[in-house]
Amino acid sequence: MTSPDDYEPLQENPQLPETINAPKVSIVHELWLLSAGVLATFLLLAVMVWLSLGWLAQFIPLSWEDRLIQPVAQSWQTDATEQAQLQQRIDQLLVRSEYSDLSVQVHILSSSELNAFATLGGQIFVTEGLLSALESEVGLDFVLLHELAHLVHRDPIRAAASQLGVRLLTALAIGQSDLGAPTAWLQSTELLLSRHYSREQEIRADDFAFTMLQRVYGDVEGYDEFFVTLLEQGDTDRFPAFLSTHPHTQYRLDRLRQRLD
Amino acid sequence: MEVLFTLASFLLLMILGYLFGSFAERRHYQSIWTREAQYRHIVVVNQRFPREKNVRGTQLVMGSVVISVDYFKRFLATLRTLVGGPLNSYESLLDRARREAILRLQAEAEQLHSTRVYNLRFETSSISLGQNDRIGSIEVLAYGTALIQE
Repeated sequence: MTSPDDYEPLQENPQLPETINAPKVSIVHELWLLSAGVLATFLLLAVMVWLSLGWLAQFIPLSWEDRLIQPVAQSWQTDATEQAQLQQRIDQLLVRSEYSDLSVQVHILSSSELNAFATLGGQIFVTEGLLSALESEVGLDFVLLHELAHLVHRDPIRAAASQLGVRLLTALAIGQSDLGAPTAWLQSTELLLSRHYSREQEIRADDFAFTMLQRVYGDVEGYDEFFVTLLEQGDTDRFPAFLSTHPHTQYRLDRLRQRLD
Repeated sequence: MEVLFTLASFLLLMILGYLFGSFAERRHYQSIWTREAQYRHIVVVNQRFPREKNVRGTQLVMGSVVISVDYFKRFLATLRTLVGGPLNSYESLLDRARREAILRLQAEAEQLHSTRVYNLRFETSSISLGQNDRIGSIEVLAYGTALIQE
Protein backbone atom coordinates (compact mmCIF):
# COMPACT_ATOMS: atom_id res chain seq x y z
CA MET A 1 0.00 0.00 0.00
CA THR A 2 1.28 3.41 -0.92
CA SER A 3 1.33 6.08 1.74
CA PRO A 4 0.13 9.61 0.95
CA ASP A 5 3.74 10.72 0.92
CA ASP A 6 4.83 8.47 -1.92
CA TYR A 7 3.31 10.28 -4.88
CA GLU A 8 4.55 13.29 -6.72
CA PRO A 9 2.43 16.42 -6.28
CA LEU A 10 0.60 17.66 -9.39
CA GLN A 11 2.57 20.06 -11.54
CA GLU A 12 -0.38 21.10 -13.66
CA ASN A 13 -4.15 21.28 -13.32
CA PRO A 14 -5.74 18.50 -15.37
CA GLN A 15 -7.89 19.26 -18.36
CA LEU A 16 -11.52 18.71 -17.34
CA PRO A 17 -13.69 16.23 -19.20
CA GLU A 18 -16.47 18.16 -20.96
CA THR A 19 -19.32 15.68 -21.03
CA ILE A 20 -19.58 14.32 -17.50
CA ASN A 21 -20.98 17.13 -15.38
CA ALA A 22 -22.78 18.95 -18.14
CA PRO A 23 -23.76 16.44 -20.80
CA LYS A 24 -24.35 17.99 -24.20
CA VAL A 25 -28.07 17.55 -24.83
CA SER A 26 -30.35 19.55 -27.04
CA ILE A 27 -32.56 21.58 -24.71
CA VAL A 28 -34.91 22.47 -27.57
CA HIS A 29 -35.51 18.79 -28.18
CA GLU A 30 -36.09 18.32 -24.47
CA LEU A 31 -38.57 21.21 -24.47
CA TRP A 32 -40.61 19.70 -27.31
CA LEU A 33 -40.64 16.29 -25.73
CA LEU A 34 -41.65 17.58 -22.29
CA SER A 35 -44.28 20.04 -23.45
CA ALA A 36 -45.84 17.51 -25.82
CA GLY A 37 -46.06 14.98 -23.01
CA VAL A 38 -47.48 17.42 -20.49
CA LEU A 39 -49.95 18.85 -23.01
CA ALA A 40 -51.14 15.39 -24.05
CA THR A 41 -51.69 14.42 -20.42
CA PHE A 42 -53.59 17.64 -19.77
CA LEU A 43 -55.80 17.15 -22.83
CA LEU A 44 -56.53 13.58 -21.84
CA LEU A 45 -57.50 14.73 -18.34
CA ALA A 46 -59.62 17.55 -19.77
CA VAL A 47 -61.51 15.16 -22.04
CA MET A 48 -62.10 12.79 -19.13
CA VAL A 49 -63.34 15.61 -16.91
CA TRP A 50 -65.52 16.99 -19.72
CA LEU A 51 -67.17 13.66 -20.44
CA SER A 52 -67.63 12.50 -16.88
CA LEU A 53 -69.00 15.80 -15.55
CA GLY A 54 -71.27 16.11 -18.60
CA TRP A 55 -72.67 12.71 -17.82
CA LEU A 56 -72.97 13.27 -14.07
CA ALA A 57 -74.70 16.64 -14.48
CA GLN A 58 -77.90 15.04 -15.72
CA PHE A 59 -78.49 13.88 -12.14
CA ILE A 60 -78.41 17.43 -10.75
CA PRO A 61 -81.92 18.26 -9.49
CA LEU A 62 -83.82 20.84 -11.53
CA SER A 63 -84.34 22.95 -8.41
CA TRP A 64 -80.57 23.41 -8.02
CA GLU A 65 -80.37 24.56 -11.62
CA ASP A 66 -83.18 27.05 -10.97
CA ARG A 67 -81.43 28.40 -7.92
CA LEU A 68 -78.23 28.88 -9.89
CA ILE A 69 -79.98 30.87 -12.57
CA GLN A 70 -82.21 32.93 -10.27
CA PRO A 71 -79.94 35.97 -9.71
CA VAL A 72 -79.41 36.47 -13.43
CA ALA A 73 -82.89 35.47 -14.62
CA GLN A 74 -84.64 38.19 -12.63
CA SER A 75 -83.46 40.86 -15.02
CA TRP A 76 -85.30 39.26 -17.92
CA GLN A 77 -88.86 39.43 -16.66
CA THR A 78 -90.87 41.28 -19.26
CA ASP A 79 -94.53 40.84 -20.04
CA ALA A 80 -95.06 41.86 -23.61
CA THR A 81 -98.11 40.41 -25.33
CA GLU A 82 -95.97 38.65 -27.89
CA GLN A 83 -94.00 37.00 -25.17
CA ALA A 84 -97.17 35.88 -23.39
CA GLN A 85 -98.43 34.35 -26.62
CA LEU A 86 -95.18 32.52 -27.17
CA GLN A 87 -95.22 31.32 -23.56
CA GLN A 88 -98.71 29.96 -24.07
CA ARG A 89 -97.59 28.20 -27.21
CA ILE A 90 -94.74 26.51 -25.34
CA ASP A 91 -97.02 25.48 -22.48
CA GLN A 92 -99.39 23.88 -24.95
CA LEU A 93 -96.55 22.06 -26.64
CA LEU A 94 -95.42 20.80 -23.25
CA VAL A 95 -98.84 19.46 -22.43
CA ARG A 96 -99.29 17.84 -25.80
CA SER A 97 -95.85 16.28 -25.81
CA GLU A 98 -96.33 14.81 -22.32
CA TYR A 99 -93.67 16.93 -20.63
CA SER A 100 -96.09 19.15 -18.75
CA ASP A 101 -94.10 18.85 -15.49
CA LEU A 102 -91.21 20.73 -17.09
CA SER A 103 -91.24 24.42 -16.20
CA VAL A 104 -90.12 26.52 -19.14
CA GLN A 105 -89.88 30.29 -19.53
CA VAL A 106 -89.59 31.92 -22.90
CA HIS A 107 -87.93 35.27 -23.65
CA ILE A 108 -87.84 37.33 -26.79
CA LEU A 109 -84.53 38.90 -27.74
CA SER A 110 -84.57 42.05 -29.84
CA SER A 111 -82.20 40.95 -32.55
CA SER A 112 -82.60 40.57 -36.29
CA GLU A 113 -80.52 37.39 -36.22
CA LEU A 114 -82.29 34.09 -36.89
CA ASN A 115 -81.66 32.37 -33.62
CA ALA A 116 -83.19 30.49 -30.74
CA PHE A 117 -81.50 28.79 -27.84
CA ALA A 118 -82.21 27.05 -24.58
CA THR A 119 -80.20 27.66 -21.45
CA LEU A 120 -80.03 26.87 -17.73
CA GLY A 121 -83.11 26.86 -15.54
CA GLY A 122 -85.55 26.06 -18.35
CA GLN A 123 -85.08 29.36 -20.18
CA ILE A 124 -85.64 29.57 -23.90
CA PHE A 125 -84.61 32.60 -25.95
CA VAL A 126 -86.08 33.37 -29.35
CA THR A 127 -85.01 36.34 -31.46
CA GLU A 128 -87.49 38.76 -33.03
CA GLY A 129 -85.80 38.08 -36.35
CA LEU A 130 -86.69 34.42 -36.12
CA LEU A 131 -90.29 35.10 -35.12
CA SER A 132 -90.87 37.35 -38.10
CA ALA A 133 -89.07 35.06 -40.52
CA LEU A 134 -91.04 31.93 -39.65
CA GLU A 135 -94.51 32.07 -41.18
CA SER A 136 -96.01 28.70 -40.35
CA GLU A 137 -96.91 27.42 -36.90
CA VAL A 138 -95.30 24.07 -37.61
CA GLY A 139 -92.05 25.77 -38.50
CA LEU A 140 -92.02 27.70 -35.23
CA ASP A 141 -93.07 24.67 -33.22
CA PHE A 142 -90.21 22.65 -34.63
CA VAL A 143 -87.74 25.26 -33.42
CA LEU A 144 -89.42 25.46 -30.01
CA LEU A 145 -89.49 21.67 -29.68
CA HIS A 146 -85.82 21.51 -30.62
CA GLU A 147 -85.03 23.90 -27.77
CA LEU A 148 -87.36 21.99 -25.41
CA ALA A 149 -85.43 18.85 -26.32
CA HIS A 150 -82.24 20.46 -25.01
CA LEU A 151 -84.05 21.11 -21.72
CA VAL A 152 -85.48 17.59 -21.56
CA HIS A 153 -82.03 16.12 -22.21
CA ARG A 154 -80.52 18.49 -19.60
CA ASP A 155 -78.05 19.75 -22.19
CA PRO A 156 -77.53 23.24 -20.66
CA ILE A 157 -76.48 21.98 -17.22
CA ARG A 158 -74.38 19.23 -18.76
CA ALA A 159 -72.53 21.72 -20.94
CA ALA A 160 -72.11 24.07 -17.97
CA ALA A 161 -70.75 21.30 -15.72
CA SER A 162 -68.29 20.15 -18.38
CA GLN A 163 -67.08 23.69 -18.99
CA LEU A 164 -66.74 24.40 -15.30
CA GLY A 165 -64.72 21.22 -14.84
CA VAL A 166 -62.32 22.10 -17.62
CA ARG A 167 -62.04 25.69 -16.35
CA LEU A 168 -61.14 24.46 -12.87
CA LEU A 169 -58.66 21.98 -14.29
CA THR A 170 -57.03 24.73 -16.36
CA ALA A 171 -56.87 27.03 -13.35
CA LEU A 172 -55.17 24.25 -11.37
CA ALA A 173 -52.78 23.44 -14.18
CA ILE A 174 -51.58 26.99 -14.75
CA GLY A 175 -51.33 27.49 -11.01
CA GLN A 176 -54.00 30.17 -10.85
CA SER A 177 -54.37 30.68 -7.14
CA ASP A 178 -57.84 32.20 -7.39
CA LEU A 179 -60.11 29.24 -7.95
CA GLY A 180 -63.02 31.59 -7.36
CA ALA A 181 -62.73 32.93 -10.90
CA PRO A 182 -63.98 29.75 -12.59
CA THR A 183 -66.73 29.36 -10.02
CA ALA A 184 -67.80 32.98 -10.33
CA TRP A 185 -68.29 32.23 -14.01
CA LEU A 186 -71.20 30.04 -12.90
CA GLN A 187 -73.06 33.20 -11.87
CA SER A 188 -72.28 35.15 -14.99
CA THR A 189 -74.35 35.90 -18.06
CA GLU A 190 -71.50 34.61 -20.15
CA LEU A 191 -72.42 31.13 -19.04
CA LEU A 192 -76.05 31.58 -20.03
CA LEU A 193 -75.18 32.83 -23.44
CA SER A 194 -72.63 30.14 -24.17
CA ARG A 195 -74.38 27.26 -25.83
CA HIS A 196 -71.68 24.85 -26.71
CA TYR A 197 -73.75 21.79 -27.25
CA SER A 198 -72.07 18.99 -29.06
CA ARG A 199 -73.11 17.94 -32.51
CA GLU A 200 -74.54 14.77 -31.02
CA GLN A 201 -76.71 16.83 -28.70
CA GLU A 202 -77.99 18.94 -31.61
CA ILE A 203 -78.81 15.88 -33.69
CA ARG A 204 -80.56 14.30 -30.73
CA ALA A 205 -82.60 17.47 -30.21
CA ASP A 206 -83.56 17.49 -33.90
CA ASP A 207 -84.76 13.90 -33.64
CA PHE A 208 -86.71 14.67 -30.49
CA ALA A 209 -88.36 17.70 -32.10
CA PHE A 210 -89.26 15.69 -35.16
CA THR A 211 -90.81 12.86 -33.16
CA MET A 212 -92.75 15.27 -30.96
CA LEU A 213 -93.98 17.21 -33.99
CA GLN A 214 -95.29 13.96 -35.42
CA ARG A 215 -97.02 13.22 -32.14
CA VAL A 216 -98.58 16.69 -31.87
CA TYR A 217 -99.55 17.35 -35.49
CA GLY A 218 -99.56 13.91 -37.09
CA ASP A 219 -98.45 15.53 -40.34
CA VAL A 220 -95.07 17.27 -40.15
CA GLU A 221 -95.38 19.19 -43.44
CA GLY A 222 -93.46 22.46 -43.13
CA TYR A 223 -91.24 21.44 -40.22
CA ASP A 224 -88.15 22.43 -42.21
CA GLU A 225 -89.05 26.11 -42.54
CA PHE A 226 -86.27 27.19 -40.17
CA PHE A 227 -83.57 25.28 -42.04
CA VAL A 228 -84.84 26.41 -45.44
CA THR A 229 -84.97 30.06 -44.31
CA LEU A 230 -81.47 29.79 -42.90
CA LEU A 231 -80.14 28.32 -46.13
CA GLU A 232 -81.97 30.94 -48.19
CA GLN A 233 -80.35 33.65 -46.12
CA GLY A 234 -77.01 32.26 -47.21
CA ASP A 235 -75.99 30.47 -44.05
CA THR A 236 -72.82 29.17 -45.58
CA ASP A 237 -70.79 27.33 -43.03
CA ARG A 238 -67.45 28.95 -42.74
CA PHE A 239 -65.78 26.10 -40.91
CA PRO A 240 -65.60 22.41 -41.73
CA ALA A 241 -68.22 20.44 -39.83
CA PHE A 242 -65.83 18.81 -37.37
CA LEU A 243 -64.67 22.23 -36.13
CA SER A 244 -68.12 23.60 -35.63
CA THR A 245 -70.26 22.95 -32.57
CA HIS A 246 -73.44 22.98 -34.62
CA PRO A 247 -73.72 20.47 -37.44
CA HIS A 248 -74.15 22.04 -40.86
CA THR A 249 -77.68 23.17 -41.58
CA GLN A 250 -77.78 21.29 -44.86
CA TYR A 251 -76.70 18.09 -43.12
CA ARG A 252 -79.40 18.44 -40.47
CA LEU A 253 -82.04 19.07 -43.09
CA ASP A 254 -80.95 16.11 -45.21
CA ARG A 255 -81.02 13.83 -42.18
CA LEU A 256 -84.58 14.77 -41.28
CA ARG A 257 -85.75 14.51 -44.90
CA GLN A 258 -84.30 11.02 -45.08
CA ARG A 259 -86.16 10.17 -41.94
CA LEU A 260 -89.40 11.38 -43.47
CA ASP A 261 -88.90 9.13 -46.48
CA MET B 1 -57.28 39.15 -26.52
CA GLU B 2 -55.74 39.01 -23.08
CA VAL B 3 -54.87 35.37 -23.63
CA LEU B 4 -53.19 36.22 -26.93
CA PHE B 5 -51.15 38.92 -25.24
CA THR B 6 -50.02 36.55 -22.49
CA LEU B 7 -49.17 33.89 -25.06
CA ALA B 8 -47.25 36.33 -27.23
CA SER B 9 -45.20 37.65 -24.32
CA PHE B 10 -44.52 34.10 -23.18
CA LEU B 11 -43.29 33.11 -26.65
CA LEU B 12 -41.19 36.26 -26.92
CA LEU B 13 -39.58 35.62 -23.54
CA MET B 14 -38.94 32.00 -24.46
CA ILE B 15 -37.29 32.93 -27.75
CA LEU B 16 -35.26 35.72 -26.19
CA GLY B 17 -34.29 33.46 -23.30
CA TYR B 18 -33.19 30.74 -25.66
CA LEU B 19 -31.26 32.97 -28.07
CA PHE B 20 -29.47 35.03 -25.44
CA GLY B 21 -29.03 32.07 -23.14
CA SER B 22 -27.39 29.83 -25.70
CA PHE B 23 -25.31 32.67 -27.11
CA ALA B 24 -24.03 33.53 -23.64
CA GLU B 25 -23.36 29.89 -22.86
CA ARG B 26 -21.32 29.30 -26.02
CA ARG B 27 -19.27 32.43 -25.44
CA HIS B 28 -18.75 31.61 -21.78
CA TYR B 29 -17.46 28.11 -22.50
CA GLN B 30 -15.02 29.53 -25.07
CA SER B 31 -13.70 31.90 -22.42
CA ILE B 32 -13.56 29.13 -19.80
CA TRP B 33 -11.48 26.88 -22.06
CA THR B 34 -9.05 29.67 -22.90
CA ARG B 35 -8.52 30.72 -19.30
CA GLU B 36 -8.30 27.14 -18.02
CA ALA B 37 -5.40 26.65 -20.41
CA GLN B 38 -3.89 29.95 -19.29
CA TYR B 39 -4.04 29.05 -15.57
CA ARG B 40 -3.11 25.40 -15.99
CA HIS B 41 0.14 25.96 -14.05
CA ILE B 42 -1.81 27.10 -10.96
CA VAL B 43 -2.61 23.77 -9.36
CA VAL B 44 -5.81 23.63 -7.33
CA VAL B 45 -6.40 20.58 -5.13
CA ASN B 46 -8.67 19.81 -2.21
CA GLN B 47 -5.96 18.17 -0.14
CA ARG B 48 -5.63 19.65 3.32
CA PHE B 49 -1.94 19.16 4.06
CA PRO B 50 0.50 20.57 1.54
CA ARG B 51 3.77 18.81 0.85
CA GLU B 52 5.62 21.70 -0.67
CA LYS B 53 9.03 23.06 0.14
CA ASN B 54 10.09 26.63 0.65
CA VAL B 55 6.71 27.89 1.73
CA ARG B 56 6.97 31.50 2.81
CA GLY B 57 3.33 31.98 3.75
CA THR B 58 -0.30 31.12 3.06
CA GLN B 59 -3.27 33.23 2.10
CA LEU B 60 -6.97 32.70 1.59
CA VAL B 61 -8.04 33.03 -2.04
CA MET B 62 -11.63 33.16 -3.25
CA GLY B 63 -13.59 33.13 -6.44
CA SER B 64 -17.26 33.96 -6.39
CA VAL B 65 -19.86 33.88 -9.17
CA VAL B 66 -23.52 34.85 -9.17
CA ILE B 67 -25.60 33.45 -12.00
CA SER B 68 -29.22 33.69 -13.00
CA VAL B 69 -31.34 31.23 -14.91
CA ASP B 70 -32.83 32.43 -18.16
CA TYR B 71 -36.57 32.24 -18.87
CA PHE B 72 -36.24 29.35 -21.28
CA LYS B 73 -34.29 27.15 -18.89
CA ARG B 74 -36.57 27.97 -16.03
CA PHE B 75 -39.63 26.96 -18.03
CA LEU B 76 -37.89 23.74 -19.03
CA ALA B 77 -37.09 23.07 -15.38
CA THR B 78 -40.71 23.71 -14.39
CA LEU B 79 -41.83 21.09 -16.88
CA ARG B 80 -39.13 18.77 -15.59
CA THR B 81 -40.42 19.02 -12.04
CA LEU B 82 -43.69 17.48 -13.22
CA VAL B 83 -42.14 14.31 -14.57
CA GLY B 84 -38.76 14.09 -12.84
CA GLY B 85 -35.41 13.20 -14.38
CA PRO B 86 -32.13 15.03 -14.87
CA LEU B 87 -32.34 18.79 -15.11
CA ASN B 88 -29.95 19.11 -18.02
CA SER B 89 -30.73 22.75 -18.57
CA TYR B 90 -29.45 23.64 -15.10
CA GLU B 91 -26.50 21.27 -15.15
CA SER B 92 -24.55 23.22 -17.77
CA LEU B 93 -25.33 26.44 -15.92
CA LEU B 94 -23.89 25.14 -12.65
CA ASP B 95 -20.94 23.58 -14.41
CA ARG B 96 -20.10 26.99 -15.86
CA ALA B 97 -20.53 28.64 -12.47
CA ARG B 98 -18.21 26.23 -10.64
CA ARG B 99 -15.52 26.46 -13.29
CA GLU B 100 -15.77 30.24 -13.41
CA ALA B 101 -15.44 30.36 -9.62
CA ILE B 102 -12.24 28.29 -9.76
CA LEU B 103 -10.88 30.51 -12.54
CA ARG B 104 -11.44 33.62 -10.42
CA LEU B 105 -9.75 31.91 -7.50
CA GLN B 106 -6.81 31.09 -9.77
CA ALA B 107 -6.69 34.70 -10.95
CA GLU B 108 -6.37 35.83 -7.35
CA ALA B 109 -3.67 33.24 -6.70
CA GLU B 110 -1.75 34.46 -9.72
CA GLN B 111 -1.72 38.00 -8.37
CA LEU B 112 -0.06 36.59 -5.25
CA HIS B 113 2.47 34.77 -7.49
CA SER B 114 1.25 31.51 -6.03
CA THR B 115 1.04 28.35 -8.14
CA ARG B 116 -0.45 26.08 -5.48
CA VAL B 117 -3.91 26.32 -3.92
CA TYR B 118 -4.75 23.70 -1.29
CA ASN B 119 -7.92 22.77 0.54
CA LEU B 120 -10.34 23.90 -2.17
CA ARG B 121 -13.97 24.18 -0.98
CA PHE B 122 -17.20 25.13 -2.68
CA GLU B 123 -20.24 26.87 -1.28
CA THR B 124 -23.40 27.11 -3.33
CA SER B 125 -26.34 29.12 -2.16
CA SER B 126 -29.57 30.33 -3.67
CA ILE B 127 -30.01 34.06 -3.33
CA SER B 128 -33.60 34.21 -4.57
CA LEU B 129 -35.08 31.56 -2.35
CA GLY B 130 -38.76 31.82 -1.55
CA GLN B 131 -39.55 34.32 -4.25
CA ASN B 132 -42.08 32.46 -6.29
CA ASP B 133 -42.27 34.39 -9.49
CA ARG B 134 -38.67 35.49 -9.67
CA ILE B 135 -36.08 33.94 -11.86
CA GLY B 136 -33.74 31.96 -9.62
CA SER B 137 -30.19 33.14 -8.98
CA ILE B 138 -27.40 31.30 -7.19
CA GLU B 139 -23.98 32.12 -5.91
CA VAL B 140 -21.10 29.69 -6.24
CA LEU B 141 -18.13 30.47 -4.04
CA ALA B 142 -14.82 28.63 -4.32
CA TYR B 143 -12.15 29.22 -1.68
CA GLY B 144 -8.84 27.68 -0.76
CA THR B 145 -5.43 28.32 0.70
CA ALA B 146 -2.79 29.67 -1.63
CA LEU B 147 0.81 28.79 -0.80
CA ILE B 148 3.25 31.57 -1.34
CA GLN B 149 6.66 30.10 -2.09
CA GLU B 150 10.15 31.51 -2.15
